[in-house]
Amino acid sequence: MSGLANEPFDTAAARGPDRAPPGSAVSAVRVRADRDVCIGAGVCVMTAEEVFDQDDAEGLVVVLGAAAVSEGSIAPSLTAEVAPEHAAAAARAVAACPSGALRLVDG
Amino acid sequence: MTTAKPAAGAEELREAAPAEVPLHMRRVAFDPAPELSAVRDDEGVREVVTTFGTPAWLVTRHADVKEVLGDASRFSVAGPRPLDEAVLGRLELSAEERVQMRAGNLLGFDPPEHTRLRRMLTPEFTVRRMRRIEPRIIEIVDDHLDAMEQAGPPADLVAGFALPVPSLVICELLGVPYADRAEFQERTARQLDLSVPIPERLELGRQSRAYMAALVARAQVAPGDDLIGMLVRDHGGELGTDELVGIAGLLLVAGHETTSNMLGLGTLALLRHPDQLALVRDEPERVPPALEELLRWLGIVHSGMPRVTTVDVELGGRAIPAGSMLVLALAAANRDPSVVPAPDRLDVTRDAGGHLAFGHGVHHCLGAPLARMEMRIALPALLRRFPDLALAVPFDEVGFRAFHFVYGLHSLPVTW
Repeated sequence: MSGLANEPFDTAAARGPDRAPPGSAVSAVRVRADRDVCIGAGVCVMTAEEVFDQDDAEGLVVVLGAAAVSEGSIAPSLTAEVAPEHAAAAARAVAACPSGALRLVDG
Repeated sequence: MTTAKPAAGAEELREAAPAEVPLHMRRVAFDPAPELSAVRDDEGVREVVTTFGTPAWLVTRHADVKEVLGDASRFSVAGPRPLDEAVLGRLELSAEERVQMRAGNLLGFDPPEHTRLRRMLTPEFTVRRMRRIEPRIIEIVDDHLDAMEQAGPPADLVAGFALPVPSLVICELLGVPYADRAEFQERTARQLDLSVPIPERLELGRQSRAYMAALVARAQVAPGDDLIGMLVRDHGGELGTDELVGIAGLLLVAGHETTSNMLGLGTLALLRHPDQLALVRDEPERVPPALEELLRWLGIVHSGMPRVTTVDVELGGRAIPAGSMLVLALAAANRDPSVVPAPDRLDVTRDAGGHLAFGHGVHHCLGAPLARMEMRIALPALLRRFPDLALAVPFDEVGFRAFHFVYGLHSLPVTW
């Protein structure tokens, strides 16, 4: 048996999106993910991989750049600013999310 | 204790195996049948009678189908469904067997029971996890293309490529011996064939559970590094044996009956649209959006699980009482003009993002990242290996699986 499922877990991805400069004139887009609602379908990662990821342990949504990990576990609600060049993709991911776990929130 | 003979109920159901394809599954080649599309374009939600004589509401528009799929609290998959009582009641199944039939079947539970099971599987199907198995999928695809090429034309693309590639992938992922495929490949197909009488499908279900129970028992002694082994190792304390058998059985069927039909039907669709086939074959960046359009346009899963309203609802302007069964016409919803302009036209260059081919809501296809990866690898690899791929029979001789819960082809004779 070649065992497709035997890969070790990664630690949660550490890369973050490029941030818009502080105080930039355009109002920032922020995205919030609720991991208690997430079903890990991965639609957001396929739609906007610069903004979203899934953690290896649970397979649930991670917002890149969000202050996520506290005492080894990931907070149930994650919020981060989205770089302007990824805002459209982030909005598509929010609309496409099958579980309704994603929201655009005021900057 | 009942003394009635189970065979009497079975006999009635044998007669009840439908002679006609139910409206929500009806097609003309690739398209939803005109009378199905007419429901969507006319009243949207229609009262119908199921094959087994029970009342139901057929939901056909994209917005309405999405609303139902997206709200598990008002629209339950757990029943009790009048249909189940009408069918299973007559079979006089023991309470124990009913529990076994249902155990581990994620499709038949609402939150929080569904959430509990789904969370155990979610890490196994992440986008990143799928990328890790990408090299092995490429290898499996190439091996099957090599075999086709060596055997030479003509070939049945279903038997030689579309079925065995996803079959081998799901077997390796789960830890099911591919050597046993002669046993389960036909069984998984017949279990989802509406024209197979229900008593026979029940018996196939029993055989499936017995087969899977033996694999689970082996894994409970010595769990492997596959998905069944992971479930035993990481969740063996909280999952009963019936649940392990049910989950593994569901994933085996799902892994067989979805990607394989998309590959067969998708190839045929492109052969009928040669300009679009050339784009998919020659321009790699076209492949991901082309797959979404093929998923939308083909809509191979006719319906998914029926829902039951838990409260009185209004849907598409109709008042539907609590306890009603809803049948969702996914293919009709995917051809709703609100999704894309000219929805009945295949156009692989467009953004078909909002389709419901993988469902929506908490039951959205767990294996979607795997299915997308398999198709993204297999379809262009096939078209590039055989740039002159062509149908080996006239189009009207191609056999579509009219009665199957997942639409597809019996076979696809091709040459090159």
